[in-house]
Amino acid sequence: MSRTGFQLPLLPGRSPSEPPDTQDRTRALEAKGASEQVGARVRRLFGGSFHLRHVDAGSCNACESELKALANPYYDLHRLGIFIEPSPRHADGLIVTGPITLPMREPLLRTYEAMPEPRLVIAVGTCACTGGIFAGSELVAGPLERLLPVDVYIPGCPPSPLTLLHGLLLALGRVEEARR
Amino acid sequence: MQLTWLWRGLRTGVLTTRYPRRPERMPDGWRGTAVLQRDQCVVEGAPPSCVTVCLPRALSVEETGGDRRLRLDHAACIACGLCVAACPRGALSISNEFELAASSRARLISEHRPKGDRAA
Repeated sequence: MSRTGFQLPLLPGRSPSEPPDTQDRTRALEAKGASEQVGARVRRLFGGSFHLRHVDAGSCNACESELKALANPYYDLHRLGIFIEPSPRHADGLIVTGPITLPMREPLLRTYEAMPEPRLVIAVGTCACTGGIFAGSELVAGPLERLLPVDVYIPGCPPSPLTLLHGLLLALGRVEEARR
Repeated sequence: MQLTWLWRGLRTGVLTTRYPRRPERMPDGWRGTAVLQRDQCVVEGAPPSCVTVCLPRALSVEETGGDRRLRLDHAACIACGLCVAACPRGALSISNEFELAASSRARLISEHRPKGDRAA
């Protein structure tokens, strides 16, 4: 037994320094329509609920604070049938916050690999959407769209709970997108 | 004892937001994102003062062969309000719009090409 003990196998054909490759692009094509598939299932009568897995990829915890506020009695995320899960195996969607620091790159990709399909990815906060003030830094692997196919972008620093709610419902196709 | 709490609940009513069914309005002064009044902006200065002060580089100027555009990336905007103070013409403001989520990156970018520039 090595010193680190149990180790998950690394993703095939990927090393931490490798840039986003064609594998990512084919995955992006596969994942196209994941939002529609999940949305259609959830909108059906007795179709089920929407389960999310949250990964903090180097966030400053402001986004987490707002995500936590969604569970309070005022916003009450659960009334809409949206739940945050402790395991990626049970999740339909992946919420990512933070600019994807290098140490969190591999755990994030493993979480994504562990999710059953159809799966959708939601970028929460300016950092996950564009890198924010960390954009272009050599210590971040983000923004998220360089690693995973993003279905919904929720901007804001941090996004307010209602903005988050709008984004989550947009992922399910239950609200309209704002015109700009 | 339980009736006390029942009475309290009935008196207070439901405080939970009805958000997707009923529209919600943010208070004035709540900072959502920067918006550009296109008729006010002339993209003057090299770079314009708003681009200079923008910390996350949400505002940028793109120049391709004499064509000058101001690009406002709402995904990068942190609604700090520095550009509002920097703009001499009052073309930028912070809106209290909260429904900002978008399904594609392109929908979060607004570009502005001043009218005078195209003729020149």
